[in-house]
Amino acid sequence: MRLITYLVLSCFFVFAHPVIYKGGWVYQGSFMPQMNEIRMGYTASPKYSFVYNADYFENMDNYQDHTVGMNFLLKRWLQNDSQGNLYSGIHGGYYSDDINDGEVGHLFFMGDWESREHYTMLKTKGYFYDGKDRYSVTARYGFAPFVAGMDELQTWLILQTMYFQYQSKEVVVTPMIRFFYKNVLWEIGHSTRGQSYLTLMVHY
Amino acid sequence: MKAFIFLLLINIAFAGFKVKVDVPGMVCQMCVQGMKKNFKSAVENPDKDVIVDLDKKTVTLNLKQKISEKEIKERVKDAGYNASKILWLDK
Repeated sequence: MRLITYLVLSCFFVFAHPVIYKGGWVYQGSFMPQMNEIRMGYTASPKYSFVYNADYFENMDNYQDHTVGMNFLLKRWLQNDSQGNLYSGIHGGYYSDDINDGEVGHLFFMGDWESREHYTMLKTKGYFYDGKDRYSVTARYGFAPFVAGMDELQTWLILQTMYFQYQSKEVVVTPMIRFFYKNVLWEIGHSTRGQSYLTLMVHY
Repeated sequence: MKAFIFLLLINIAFAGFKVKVDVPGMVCQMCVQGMKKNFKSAVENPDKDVIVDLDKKTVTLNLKQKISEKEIKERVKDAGYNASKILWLDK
């Protein structure tokens, strides 16, 4: 029943670059003092990709996992000056924490909409293991202070809010700056809880 | 006159196949990378021969050899987009 409730709630949320272009690879790492995420993905079709994830959450009894799975582009809306996307993904693997270890499953739903000046994203992700179901919800809004062309440095100012059940028990707000140059994206931020945030992503 | 015709023939013989494709919805660098990746085998140098104009939402290609419009549409689709219009600029 809790899983069904989660799925229903998830339908209202969205996630970033889970599927890119055919033949494209993604390497991504997101780092905060108490949580790290690493992801590698290969997009075999513009509709789906194969991924490997590794997560570490200190506040969840030093939880860590390694999972593989698939991400899906469920729907893309293309307007002349903007695009919207709806993604999902399901992953399975092995976890361990200070209490136990065993199988784990991930499920996420994510949606985004962006133009060259504005960017929004909503994502929810669930972690199912050891009879528990824990989830995170992330929302973002960003704007570009100037519009960059092909092969020019794109800059975004982004405000992220994140709630991670059992991780912080509060909504964490993180202002950040994103740079996107050619195939390299990086984000640097500092949360209201005083934590630094760094993401590096490379496509090729 | 002979020189003009000679130069014209040389130009035609060595000119690439240039095509402009309208692609709505391209907004970021990832769109650019996707186009370069998916047209890589159709051009000599993806960095120079695949020109993405994010303002006009167009991709201009200097192709090594002519490919069908169907193939152009498929490659654009593999990049995650739809080609709404294809315009051959020479040859």
